[in-house]
Amino acid sequence: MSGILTIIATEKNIIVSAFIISNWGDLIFMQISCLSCYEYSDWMCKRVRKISGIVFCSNQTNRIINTNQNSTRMKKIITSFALLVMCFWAVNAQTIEVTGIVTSHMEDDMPLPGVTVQIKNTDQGTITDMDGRYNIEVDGADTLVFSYVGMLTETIPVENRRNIDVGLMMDVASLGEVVVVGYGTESSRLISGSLGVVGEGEIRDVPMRTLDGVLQGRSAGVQITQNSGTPGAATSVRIRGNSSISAGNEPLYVVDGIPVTTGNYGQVGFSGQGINALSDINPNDIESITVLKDASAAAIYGARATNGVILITTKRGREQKTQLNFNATYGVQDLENRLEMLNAQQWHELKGTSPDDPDNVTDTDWLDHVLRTAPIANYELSANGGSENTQFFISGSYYTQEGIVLGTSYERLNSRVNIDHKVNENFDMGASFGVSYSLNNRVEGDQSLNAPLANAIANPPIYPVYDEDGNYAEQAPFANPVAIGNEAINEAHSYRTIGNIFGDYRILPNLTIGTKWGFDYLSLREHSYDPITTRQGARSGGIGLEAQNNVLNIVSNNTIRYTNTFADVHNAELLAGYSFEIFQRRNQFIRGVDFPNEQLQYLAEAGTITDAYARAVNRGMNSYFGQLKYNFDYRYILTASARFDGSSKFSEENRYGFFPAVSTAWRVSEENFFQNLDAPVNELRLRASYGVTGNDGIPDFAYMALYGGGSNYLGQSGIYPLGLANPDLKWETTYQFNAGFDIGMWEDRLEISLDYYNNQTQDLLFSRPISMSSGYSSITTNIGELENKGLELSIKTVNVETDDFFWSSSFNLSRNRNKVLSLYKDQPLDNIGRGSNSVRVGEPLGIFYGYESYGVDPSTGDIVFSDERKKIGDPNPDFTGGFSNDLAWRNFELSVFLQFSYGNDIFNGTRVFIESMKGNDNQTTAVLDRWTEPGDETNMPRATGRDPNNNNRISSRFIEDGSYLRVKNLTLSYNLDGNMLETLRMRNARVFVTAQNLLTFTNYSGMDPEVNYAGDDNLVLGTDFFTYPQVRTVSFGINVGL
Amino acid sequence: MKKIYLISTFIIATLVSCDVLDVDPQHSIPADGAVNNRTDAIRALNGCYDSFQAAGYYGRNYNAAGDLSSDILSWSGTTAGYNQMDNNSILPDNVIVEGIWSSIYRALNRINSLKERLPEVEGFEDNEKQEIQGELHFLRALAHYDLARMFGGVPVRTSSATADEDDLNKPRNEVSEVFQSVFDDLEVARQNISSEIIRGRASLAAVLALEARANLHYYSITHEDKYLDAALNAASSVIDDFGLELEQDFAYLFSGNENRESIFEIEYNEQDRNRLAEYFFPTDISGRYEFAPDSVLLADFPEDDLRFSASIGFLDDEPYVLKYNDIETGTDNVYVFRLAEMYLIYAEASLLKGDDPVEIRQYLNPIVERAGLDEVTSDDYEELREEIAQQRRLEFAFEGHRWFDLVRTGQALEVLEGVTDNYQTLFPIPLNEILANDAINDEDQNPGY
Repeated sequence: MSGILTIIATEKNIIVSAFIISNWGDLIFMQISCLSCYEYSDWMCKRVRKISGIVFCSNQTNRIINTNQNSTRMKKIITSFALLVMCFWAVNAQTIEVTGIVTSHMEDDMPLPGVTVQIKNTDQGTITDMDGRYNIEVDGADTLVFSYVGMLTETIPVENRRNIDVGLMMDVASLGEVVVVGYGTESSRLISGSLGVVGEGEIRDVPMRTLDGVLQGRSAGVQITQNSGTPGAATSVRIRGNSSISAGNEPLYVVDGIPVTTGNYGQVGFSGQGINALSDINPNDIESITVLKDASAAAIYGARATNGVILITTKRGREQKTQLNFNATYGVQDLENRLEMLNAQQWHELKGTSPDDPDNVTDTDWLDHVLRTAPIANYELSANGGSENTQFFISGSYYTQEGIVLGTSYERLNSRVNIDHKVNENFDMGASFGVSYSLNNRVEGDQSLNAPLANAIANPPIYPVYDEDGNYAEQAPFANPVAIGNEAINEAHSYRTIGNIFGDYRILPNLTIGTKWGFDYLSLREHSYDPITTRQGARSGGIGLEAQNNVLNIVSNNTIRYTNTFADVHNAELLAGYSFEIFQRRNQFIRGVDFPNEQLQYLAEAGTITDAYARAVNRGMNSYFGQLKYNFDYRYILTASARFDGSSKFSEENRYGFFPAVSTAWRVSEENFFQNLDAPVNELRLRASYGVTGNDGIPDFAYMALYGGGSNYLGQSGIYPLGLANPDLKWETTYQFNAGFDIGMWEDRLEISLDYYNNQTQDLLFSRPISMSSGYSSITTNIGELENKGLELSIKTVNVETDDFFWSSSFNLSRNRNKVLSLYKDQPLDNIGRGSNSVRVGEPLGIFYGYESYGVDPSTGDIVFSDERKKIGDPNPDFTGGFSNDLAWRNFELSVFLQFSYGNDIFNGTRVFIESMKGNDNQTTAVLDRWTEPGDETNMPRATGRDPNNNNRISSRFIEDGSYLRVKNLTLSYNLDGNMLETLRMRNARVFVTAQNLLTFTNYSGMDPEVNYAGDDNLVLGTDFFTYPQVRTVSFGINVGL
Repeated sequence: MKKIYLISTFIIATLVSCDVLDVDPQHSIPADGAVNNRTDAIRALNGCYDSFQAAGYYGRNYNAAGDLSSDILSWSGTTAGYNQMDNNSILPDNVIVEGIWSSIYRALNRINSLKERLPEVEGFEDNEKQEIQGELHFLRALAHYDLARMFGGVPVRTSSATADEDDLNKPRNEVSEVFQSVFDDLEVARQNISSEIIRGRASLAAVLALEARANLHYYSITHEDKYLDAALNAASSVIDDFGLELEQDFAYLFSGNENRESIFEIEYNEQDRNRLAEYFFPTDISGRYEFAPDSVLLADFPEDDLRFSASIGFLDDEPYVLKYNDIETGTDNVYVFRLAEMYLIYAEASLLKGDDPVEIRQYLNPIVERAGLDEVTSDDYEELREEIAQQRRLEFAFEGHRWFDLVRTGQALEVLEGVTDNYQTLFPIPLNEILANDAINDEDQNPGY
């Protein structure tokens, strides 16, 4: 314990303050008393309390007792006081005397006593009195600096004035951290909508290729499914469930204010495992990610906001001596769970055959030949710094990953330059550029008969990999996977530039106009070659494909922003904006066969060109938007926004959609009555919002009746009617309601947020199946309704905080209930995908619909099925969530991140083949339990070549519980400390070991429960089909700061 | 000044945007202006033929269904839908069947769309317009007939689809109505179509060939002699009037070269290819071996039949279909009608009429002799009937006839192990058609499914 006693004497007041500080540097007792005036000290006490959030403060004794161990904050308060105290001494008369009153803008122009009034660049100053008055002797050319804890500092040149009155604004930083929201930023405690924020801390360390991978499990209401472990492949991201049947369900991604191109632009078919345009963004360049979940947060993005918006902010420079950061990780990946397949002897028993040569039995473990332990590495250097007027962030990185499946790898080079420049006091400008190149070496996926993994699973063990001469053997029913992995070439080269330039000009102190022009250029070149050493290539003397896709998106955002405070308590910000987007896509594709030599793999040498085309798409979008943010005394908060969007996807009559939203919040904890409760609650905020968002994620020109080309015959071109027109087509509209609260207790050592939402989607953009006897299969309509209701809970705690031990936890849990409310004449959609997903009124999207299996009839060995098809499973989870724990002990840090999904079913479509006991596919060892004679009680039916009972029809036989709990990330790190760093001349240094997908707890029998073979499909959900599983990665890494 | 610059930027931004929404499709043309002149009409006709190339139709599955369901092909691959056909235990959600159904109706809609636009189109030479009209009627008759023999009564489509509810949801017609539509279309086709045989295009010979086939078929339903007469007349006209003749080397028919026997075939080329050979060829030679010759067929096929080696190859001990053999570029054409069928139709119709066995044998023996077999000499009608059936089976193995022959002649239950109930002789109406079509409900499904 140590104590400090200060006595400050001025002409009018004598202030006595006392501090008692614990051994750990924490302030545990503080007393302020003013000998001449009781109110003064009371006011000060309140003020300290307000700023620091210290909970025990007795007005009678003017004592502040801290029960909080937050030492840094306390130290800050003491420092402030010390400064304040210092200023009492520093009254010194100069040439002219300036007087004035300092008031607070926040509390009815209440005079602020105790404000430090300092002459800039000197140590001379004074402090305001009881009535907020000050007087100070200055030189007429001096500048005065008015500062006060919790208020924004004002700097005012004297300019020979004798009287300067100042109103200080509240420092909004005390309203929590600033987060990025649509077209601006906001203090977290003034937010009335629902959003999720993922900061840099959660992004670092994880050697993830894409930012959606980083987001997984971190934010309630955001369900991210990796779908497969294919390097470079797309994930599916659902914010508060699936809101559409036929239009897009992926959120809008906005990087530094500019919507970017996402999705798969590959033309070489890899169904469901497409290329992810988001993977061109380096996760380590990201400062923060904000997920806009409800209408009030997202409606400012109007027609594309229904599925939520993900705002990505890249790192920017700071005014500081240039800091260099170097990061490196290196690791290995392997497969956690392999399938147990039959060996040669078991296969022969199943088929009733015998090996040709019993002494020399071929027994190939195909999976052994195709799976491998593969390295992964990431190297990165960044610099951050700048002067007062110009700041920069520069980074470069190299990421490389080999796949665990033969023939797969991914490499990426990234660089980023972000510059901010202050031209003058009123004019800021800047630019952000991210340039990347990636090379994705792929193999054909799940659905293909030329997929290494699928073929390795399915090929029976009795066939050899190589023949006697050492060439690839092709006797097996499926193409030799080793040949494909080693010989087939499938490269996707992605060249990407995402950039923007911007300028902000302050016309008046409160009025700013801004313009931002962004562009996103993606050039994807695919080169594919199947040489004659693969089965597919041999068929045609080598097959070569060249494909090129150029996608350009230009965005212009123009805004005008007015910010002001009226009557000191009405804080308002008004934004009006105009934006347009131009989208162009041009793609070409050429296929040729019959190559003279397997070394020649470009089409110039192809004997025959079998396909060649070029295509073009143009699209435009025009938007007007406005937003009002208002709060009364930081207590009552109102946000209203509206956007008009015009899209070329709709006819002129239905071209524009209107998307308004309103939200409100009440910070109960700011009320006097609440503060008098002495509850251990430092923040309590109630929120509610309602708004309308749209979805235009349908193909272009669906409103027009069109004829298309390409239906050639006899070597002549042909045309044909493309589809039925729907001139009435309009936006899909979602009405979103959200209500929730945030509570912070014991100085935010416990933070809880709970949100309830109810999203009703109407006029579904629905590709309605129509009678196929019309000649068409569907028509795009606005028919149907569905809803998503849910609860989201997140809890953050600081469990232990001492000087050398720190432990915090973060938990989030989401529950979404999706329900289809109506369809066209309530006709169901059926038989979708390999697991027979179905869309039915009253049920969630994509339930599994098929025959119920009642088990194997012991007398026949056949499965007894229900007569009718029925609901046999639901791929939608009951709950999803994440749980992270961060521990720090001295220089060690440990973080464990668990991610889970509960209650979802998986249709294991792989088993339809590898437990069919017919056909050519190798089988899992589960078939060893098959029915063999009457009386056998087993789950596995008889082996029958013909299967007249259709035992392997789509039935509940293949439905499994897909719940899992996964140790998604585990990181142990060590921070080098003071002396060592000095010796090494480093600012900081850290070494760590990290593991991804270390362990998975699940009852699912397939390779990976986080799976969907058709990840890019709205309705094919939760279905496994020889899908590339996710890998387990263990990496070692260092971070060094210079 | 800076203010002026910035304000100008705003104005420029606004100006640039004016035409942002004013974009046109780059690959398609509004339907109203799509078929205006002769060239457009010819292209749209190509679009109609193109739909017969679909994998769900003559491109693979229609013919494969006919052979898998019978004793010609057996399933040896991975696709469950084919397995069901092979077992004659087809479920209504069978995606292959759905693909066949939708492919044929896609063809019908293309045909009807052009047919409706054609009268307005000018600028044709000579009889071109009528000939196109004739081709359209023929193609429509063929599509309806192909539906009827697989599914029974189906919705008859004689106009292009509109978004109108009544138009979208057409009920099933009676089988007789479908046949009536086929005959009506053939009548119009016969009066308009060109008699010049061009490979890949329909001509008068094709019209008559379909007339022969459909009439013989319809006789089996109605037992009215006039259909036999019509079949006889049409078949003999094809045989006599067009300069067609049986190709003496059977294997030559499947060499990819133009020949004198072909009446109508669906044409493929390197840019417009099918995957038939790929599906038939064994894996060792780069195929996927989805289908293999049925063991019953192998057992019944006389080794000395010249057609055997032209139809079936062996890789080691593995038999595979040879009739489609361009695995490299997928250009194998698919016969819809070839002359041999007219001989056998004539023989069969003649037999059904009770004509003199000499007459019957006169049309049967050219087929038998070309196969290198001893000529048939029997006078016994039952023996002749069996011989005709057997010749059809061997002659057209893997050309998609057998199932329809067995159903037409009422032999399916007797011959096929997997067919134990009459309901199996019709394919089920696809589940998704029943779900989407208000005019076809569960109770309208073919009984048994």
